[in-house]
Amino acid sequence: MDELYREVLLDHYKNPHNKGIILKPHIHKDDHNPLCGDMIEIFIRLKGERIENITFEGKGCVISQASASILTEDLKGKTLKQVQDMTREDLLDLIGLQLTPTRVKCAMLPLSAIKKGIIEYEMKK
Amino acid sequence: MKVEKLKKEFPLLKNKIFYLDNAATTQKPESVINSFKKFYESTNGNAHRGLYSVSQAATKILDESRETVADFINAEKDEIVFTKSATEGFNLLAYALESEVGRWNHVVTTELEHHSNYVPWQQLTKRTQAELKIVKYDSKKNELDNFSEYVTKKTALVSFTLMSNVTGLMPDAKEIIKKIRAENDKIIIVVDATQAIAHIDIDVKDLDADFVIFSSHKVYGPTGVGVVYGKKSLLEKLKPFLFGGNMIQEVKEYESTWATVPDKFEAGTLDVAGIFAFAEALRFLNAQDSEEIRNYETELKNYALSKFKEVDHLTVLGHTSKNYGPIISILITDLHPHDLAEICARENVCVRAGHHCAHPLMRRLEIVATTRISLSFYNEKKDIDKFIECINKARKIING
Repeated sequence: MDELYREVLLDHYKNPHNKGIILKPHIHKDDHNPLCGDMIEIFIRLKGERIENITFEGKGCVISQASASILTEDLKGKTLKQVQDMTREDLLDLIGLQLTPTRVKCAMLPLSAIKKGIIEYEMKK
Repeated sequence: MKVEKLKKEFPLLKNKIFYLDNAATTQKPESVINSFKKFYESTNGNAHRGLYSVSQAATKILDESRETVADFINAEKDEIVFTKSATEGFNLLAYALESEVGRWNHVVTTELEHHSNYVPWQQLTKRTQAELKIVKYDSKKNELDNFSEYVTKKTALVSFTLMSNVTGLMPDAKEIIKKIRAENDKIIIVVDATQAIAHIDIDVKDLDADFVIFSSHKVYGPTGVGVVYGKKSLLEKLKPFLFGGNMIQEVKEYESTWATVPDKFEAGTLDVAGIFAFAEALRFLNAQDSEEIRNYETELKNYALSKFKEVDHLTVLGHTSKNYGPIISILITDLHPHDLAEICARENVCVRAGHHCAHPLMRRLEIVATTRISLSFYNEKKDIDKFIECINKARKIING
């Protein structure tokens, strides 16, 4: 019907990529959207400065969960610096959506969790 | 009821819109919208300030509007304090009542409250080191615990809602207040009428609360105007919350004295145009047959509840008795509220998804969000049918 719920996005929602946990992750962070209660938990395994593997667990609306699926797929092999430099616009381009401000928060949830996780990891180093 | 005729009075509803978010804000009749033009074209001056005609006219309008608001809830004119919102009203009280709450006291509120009738009290108890007592919501019985378990000789203040903005539940306020008074007649009782004001008749003398708070925009008036009704003896006793112009009797170099009530609580220039428009909204309501409106809203509510019963995997929060207003929250197992509300939005069906600024209740119910519809007399059964259609559509899109 409309692009927000187009096939590819719904497919990511129903059959998410990279869903699951990583044992002994270098970065582990959970976050939630207080507006709607969507939850996300991120697991990252590094090889040097690059993301070797990234997975998520979560519960929420189509946008937040599909965004996690698409984003984790994209981030494999990227450096932590590249992830930190990723903007809201980059993310929206990646998932290919024009969103209202409320729904942008849904889409941003996984990326903000990952960035917070990286900051915590850098501080611990 | 002649809904079609009444609906024509609301310009926004002439668009193809299915407006089911009246608990967030109501639409405005044409007479309310026009009153802004009328005010600014012929009577715009600063009330209480000038001796010239338009200032005098604005003062007169403010005075008459205050009377209209007072009459609407059977209060006296000088028991009506205007604020910018109901939220500001609660904050006003939480500061003005600080002197009435000591660190040995208890302040009682409930899990059913909107954040605006919760956080100000929570913060008041932090400032005063008083203890915050929270009346539990029993999610099995769908009712608040008995207040008498929480109210003691130590209680200084109790605040609770007349109608939940999430489930529509209406606690038996008169009975609760009677019991509180019997336990301890010094307790200050505040009620939140923000949702109730549009759906039930409120008589402050009969209710016997000390303070009643509501806002204009939830009862067909404009945004930017809130009301604190307070018993005159209490208003006179309390300290002001905001300081500045209009609320002053005399300012000396290092001391000031305050104007009489209600001016003491109305520092700064009021939104007189908004207040005038609000009074116009109440005049509009006064001109309707209120019993007919109440009955029609109940009929609509019952229609929605019966329709929801036919939808698979749908749970209605509460509504297990007649003590509910026309506000209904639902949960659908396989549909996230945001996805449902978004798909509704595409069809111009306006419903609300989220926690409705009621975290304590959400926590008690162990949920994070609901989808809510809230009805008004200008709604029709077809609005509800359209919403049900959207549920089915959303299901098809998302779950295939």
